[in-house]
Amino acid sequence: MKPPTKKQNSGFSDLPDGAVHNVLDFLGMRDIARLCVVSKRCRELCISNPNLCLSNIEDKSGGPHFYSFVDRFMALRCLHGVMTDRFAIRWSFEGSVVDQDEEYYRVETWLQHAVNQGSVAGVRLKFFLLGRQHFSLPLCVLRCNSVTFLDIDAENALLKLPSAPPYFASELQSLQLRHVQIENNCNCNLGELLSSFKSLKVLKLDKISGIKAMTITSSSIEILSIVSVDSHLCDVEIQQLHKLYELNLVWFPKSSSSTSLKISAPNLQTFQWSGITVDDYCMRDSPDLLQALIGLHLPAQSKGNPDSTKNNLVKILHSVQKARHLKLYGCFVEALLKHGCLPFSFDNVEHLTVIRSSLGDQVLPLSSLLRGTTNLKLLSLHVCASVTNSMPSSELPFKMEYWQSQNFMFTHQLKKVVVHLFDKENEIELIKYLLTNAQELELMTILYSSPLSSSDVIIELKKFKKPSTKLILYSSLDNHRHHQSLRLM
Amino acid sequence: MSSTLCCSFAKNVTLRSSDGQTFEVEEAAAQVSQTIKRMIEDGCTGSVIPVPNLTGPVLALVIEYFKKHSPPSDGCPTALLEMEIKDWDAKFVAVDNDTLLDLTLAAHYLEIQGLLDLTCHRVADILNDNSVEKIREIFHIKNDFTPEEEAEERSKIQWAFE
Repeated sequence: MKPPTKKQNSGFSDLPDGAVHNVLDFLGMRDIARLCVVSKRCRELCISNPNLCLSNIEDKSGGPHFYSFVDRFMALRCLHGVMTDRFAIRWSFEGSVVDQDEEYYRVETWLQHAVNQGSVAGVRLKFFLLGRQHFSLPLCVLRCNSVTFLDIDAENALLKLPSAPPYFASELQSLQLRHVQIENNCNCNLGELLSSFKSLKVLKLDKISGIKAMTITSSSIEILSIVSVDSHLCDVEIQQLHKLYELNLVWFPKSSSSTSLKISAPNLQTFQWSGITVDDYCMRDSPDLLQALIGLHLPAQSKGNPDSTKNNLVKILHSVQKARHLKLYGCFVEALLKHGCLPFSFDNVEHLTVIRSSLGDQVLPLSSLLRGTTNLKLLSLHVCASVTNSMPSSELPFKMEYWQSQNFMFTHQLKKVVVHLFDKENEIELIKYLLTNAQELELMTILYSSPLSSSDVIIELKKFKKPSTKLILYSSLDNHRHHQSLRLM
Repeated sequence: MSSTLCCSFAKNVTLRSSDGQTFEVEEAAAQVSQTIKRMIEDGCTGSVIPVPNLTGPVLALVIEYFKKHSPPSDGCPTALLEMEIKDWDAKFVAVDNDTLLDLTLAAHYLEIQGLLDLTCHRVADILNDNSVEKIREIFHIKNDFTPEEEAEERSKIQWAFE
């Protein structure tokens, strides 16, 4: 039953305020300014948006008229009693028309005005500072009781820490520092400063540089992520983080100096560590992990004797041994095999993911790894996005009989398998083996990105599969852009 | 089909638009909307769920969105699925401007964050691409400034027209 006449179309400004504000969040300052002259209602809606983002990056706005627009805009918001919820500044100081210090002062004033209102819950700052410019941690934000979320991205500018740990209770629950160089300050180090935030639950340090050692102690932090591609960071100590349940480390320490990682987090559930191994690794209390990911390389120049390398690798394995879902990068599995650490007993592992990260032969490392997994229910073999296979493998593939001869313990309860075809022949043989021998196998998913005559493969594989097993093939020929076909049998 | 799929029984709900059209949709799919999810949790499933802010044609579109965005079945690689859904979304939102606003309103009312972001982004693109006069025309906005007021407002933001 369609209404006989088309209804009177309601326009953009008739939408509920919340929906319009959602639109405004996608607009730059220039569009907001233009929208302010479309109609009075539009201007009201622009002013009343609880989220405010001041930016001169997207549309290269600048000049005294632009600044006075921002001043006036903020004043109008104040006048109308608009409560700002999320406040962001994305500012480039490059090619600034006034003195850079003066401009920085102006931006800081806007920030102060916004947070002094007392309603701001989240603050995001992204600065493009010139050359050697430094900036200070905005204490007005930390001191503000309403702010629970702070995100700073500074294009590797130098962050000046306060001269002494701040003597006030910050309500901050989530802090992200990205592309920030930390100033070396003997009076206040980053770890101490962060430890002084008693409400902090989420801490993300993404591509921070300039510090050599970091000790983090906290009774509140639940999620911690440290990404450091700067080779100067040598020692990380995570002390007594009783509430920590997720730890993510991506870290490439300099191989010429001595390096260490010490973790004490008894309630850790998810542990991810990739980059380069350290000389001295210690995970205390051996938490009951749900998920662990290890994507480590050995340092380029081998340090110490082979025994200490093996010791080190075994320590890493022990720390993730209890994980139920274990994800390992191929490079790490290769290193394990090379240093005689395999097979290793992974009785708890129910889900194993191996991510191919190099072109090297993966059959022997994989089969050595699988020999230690007695309770495997789910096996995933993936390929790291950065690895592409161009050459056909010249060596003879490992036949199904090879896998047969390994006498794996897990085959009787394996339920699901996902294989991303890379080295086609080798993997097809493994798939055939699993289809034949895994009695309980419910689902076999095969992903392929290189052109392959799928019908041949299907006909061949069909001969091996049991009636109770579902077989799915996915193709992503155009590498990540469009998926092409899906065949279900 | 695998045994896992057989155990998850498909339960349906009926939605009724402002003009009295009814649509049946799987409960799991309709729960993409937070508003409907709450209604189902409050025990509205037995009867028809009224959606008074939406006309039949708009509700029909929203249900298409529900179906595409319902929780995936087991075993599908999420990365591929996400890419496919992204393509589908782009096509879904390439509609005329009035329908776009209707969908925005629907997404807001039914609390479908994904659809709201999708439509709002598209509306923002249109605002970005067009002049003040064109914006008024496209989105049926009445200019309630007097010519003098408008001239004054414009003079303050000359930089935005450069």
